[in-house]
Amino acid sequence: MLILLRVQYSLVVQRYESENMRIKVPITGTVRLITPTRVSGEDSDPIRMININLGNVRTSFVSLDLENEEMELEVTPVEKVVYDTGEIDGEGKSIRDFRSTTPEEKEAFIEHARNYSLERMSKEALYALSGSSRLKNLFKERASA
Amino acid sequence: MGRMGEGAEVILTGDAVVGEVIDGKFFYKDDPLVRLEGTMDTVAIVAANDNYPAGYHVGNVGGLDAIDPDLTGGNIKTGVTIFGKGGTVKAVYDVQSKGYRNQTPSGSISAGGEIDAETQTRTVTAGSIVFGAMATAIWDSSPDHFKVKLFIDGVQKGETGFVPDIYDTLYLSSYTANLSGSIVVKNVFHNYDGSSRNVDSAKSAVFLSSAKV
Repeated sequence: MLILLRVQYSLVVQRYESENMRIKVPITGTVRLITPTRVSGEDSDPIRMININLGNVRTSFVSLDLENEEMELEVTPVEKVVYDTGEIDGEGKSIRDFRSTTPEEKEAFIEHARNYSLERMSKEALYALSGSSRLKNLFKERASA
Repeated sequence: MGRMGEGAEVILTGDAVVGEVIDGKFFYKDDPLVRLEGTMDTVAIVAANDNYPAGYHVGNVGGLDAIDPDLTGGNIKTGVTIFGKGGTVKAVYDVQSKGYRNQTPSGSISAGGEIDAETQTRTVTAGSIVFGAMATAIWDSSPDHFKVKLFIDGVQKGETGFVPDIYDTLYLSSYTANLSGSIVVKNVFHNYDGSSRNVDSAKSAVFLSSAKV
């Protein structure tokens, strides 16, 4: 009797999320001006993301939500990181060089940034962790008074 | 209806002239014995030029944009209407651009603190759009400590990755619309380390361009 063995192959394809992604973080600073087309912060205390280290990523501003006190950022993992070559220069300093980041590292960098976003932490927890104060918005305070 | 009897006189009172009748078409003006032929040319508007010749125009049910598809709002400046086509193109003019560079003095930045690198204030006219960018290089710093933030008009527009101690240029750009008055663009070095860190030397530059639309 001929027994046909059914052999099942599975092809595992590792897919990485898009290198660019967006996150939302709380904001701090002081609002200076609000018009229908413009929001300005104080030069000495600009509107900015809270003092949180998002790791080996760079961020670009996408949008501002003053009502919820959040900023949306486009997050991009860095293309290169510095590593220690193990050599020493004439002044006794370590010689460092660049190397390209791997796809796995980029994925990890993105995940690290997401861990410190409103996607995975509460606003209160992020403010507490960063030590940043809440946004000062007199326009909102006057409107709700 | 009455009938015209014998001997009745036919009087024609037409006032058209041959130049008002299409070439190849015939008519009787004021003399029933004289058959006239029109001389008006049949002409057309063409996309190749802006001539508007005299003559008989057959017309085009598709309108002028059927004759020249370039007659569309996407090819006309905003605020201008040509033959009923309102423009949608925002023309950019009054462009002013300048870059500013600074040699940041060396010093210590506290944990979580920052120092201003390069700050510039520009006055832009009403209705301007503003583009900002920065480049920076830092020496003798330790990796994983400093990042550089870009601010335009008091709002953070971007942040670099960690700035290594090898000369490199980092660019961030941002776009902000509909500004007027005094605009400040600056970049700052931020120390993310848990301890104070020294910046032995650094250079940074900001670039600000404004244009009216």
